[in-house]
Amino acid sequence: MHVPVMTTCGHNYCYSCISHWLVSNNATELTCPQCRVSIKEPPALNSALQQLCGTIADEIQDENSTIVTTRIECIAQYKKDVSTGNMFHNVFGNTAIAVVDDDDGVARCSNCHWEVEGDVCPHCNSRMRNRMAIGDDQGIDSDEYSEDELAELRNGTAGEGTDLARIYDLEASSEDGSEGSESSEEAISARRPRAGSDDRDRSDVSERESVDSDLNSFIVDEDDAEVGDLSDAVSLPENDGHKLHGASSDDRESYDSDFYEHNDEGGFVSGDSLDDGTASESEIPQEDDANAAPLARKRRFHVVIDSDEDD
Amino acid sequence: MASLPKRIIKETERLVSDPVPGITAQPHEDNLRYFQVTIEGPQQSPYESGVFELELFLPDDYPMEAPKVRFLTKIYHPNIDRLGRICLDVLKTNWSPALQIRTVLLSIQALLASPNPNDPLANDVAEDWIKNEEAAIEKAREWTRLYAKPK
Repeated sequence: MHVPVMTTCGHNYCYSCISHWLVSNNATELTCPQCRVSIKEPPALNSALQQLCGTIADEIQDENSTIVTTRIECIAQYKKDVSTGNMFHNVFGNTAIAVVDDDDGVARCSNCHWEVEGDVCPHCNSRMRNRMAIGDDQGIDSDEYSEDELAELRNGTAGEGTDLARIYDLEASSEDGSEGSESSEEAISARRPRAGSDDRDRSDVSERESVDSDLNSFIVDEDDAEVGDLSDAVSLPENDGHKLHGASSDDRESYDSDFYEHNDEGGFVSGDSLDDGTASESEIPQEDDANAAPLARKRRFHVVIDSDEDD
Repeated sequence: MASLPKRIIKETERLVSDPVPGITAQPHEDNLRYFQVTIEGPQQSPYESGVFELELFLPDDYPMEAPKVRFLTKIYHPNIDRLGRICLDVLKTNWSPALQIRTVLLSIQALLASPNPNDPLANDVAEDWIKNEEAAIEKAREWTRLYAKPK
């Protein structure tokens, strides 16, 4: 440990190790590896410990010369990060919150209002403090199982998943464990995150989760996304009133929910498919605008022609 | 294969020199990241006197990423499915690099001692467990006798 840093909870780590952990830790918050307390402030250099470690390293450097090289590397990396302001891969600075836009259900960076996908805003490079779970094949590690087993797993969990998701939808319980350990645990750890796949999802979900505010709970969860889609399918008639876009968009909507219900084995909704959903939502108002504008122009045109004829 | 991180070498040495009671872990000859593990069923649990085989794999990112563990021996347990996957928080979201192979295996042994049907992975087993605990425990005993014979 050539560059020991201490967290606010009093635990010491090697600078490069803790940086690596903070970046790779894909939980919803940054936590101390030893006591799991959330780390809100960047750990600071523990110079007393560094001196002590340095003394020990000096003592034994004859036997093990790699210590010298790694020490130089570690200290150089630390100094470079300090000077470039990129401490801990910048996980503490430059953060924002992903907020779901009420109008179109799109997740946006609270910093620059750019649409965000994943952990980092593509526009201002802010790291999202409320990270979105990225679907990875419903938590089954394909390298761990043979093809047959995988097929069995997917088929096996598909039915259970939908059933349980329905039960879950009714009871709105926080633990369903429908599709394997991964998703259920993600769900628990995220304290019932909300699906942000589209407007109607959000209205459905917010009835159950009115406690959660927009700010602290936007995390797209495979589990929730499925539940949202199912509740769409169930409550379609209710929502007809909201659909101002006519039959074509209705078709599209129901196709979407059918698509998820039937083709989405085990409730896996990838980020891409979520985006498609939101994209189709956000497109519609734009189409309307686009249609409305030429109409308005036409009318004006008519008036001019009429007046010409009158003359 | 890339050289093994010092931490994995140290952990392996300690697992062999100072094994956890009731748990063995042997690295595979060809792949030192792959371990063959046995866990004895805890006393006073339905899995008592059974010896369960598991496999454990340390991913490239270990210790930043949790080891992958699964049961090879059939087991009747609400948090372990029929493919041997284990529903355990420290293997997923609660993983921390401060944990080790031995602590993970101890957690699995503890999971055998205290099944949690309220957070199930094998839904059918969990249902049985909740409906009729005695019968489920008896079935777990039977499966232990059938499949987890000590060799």
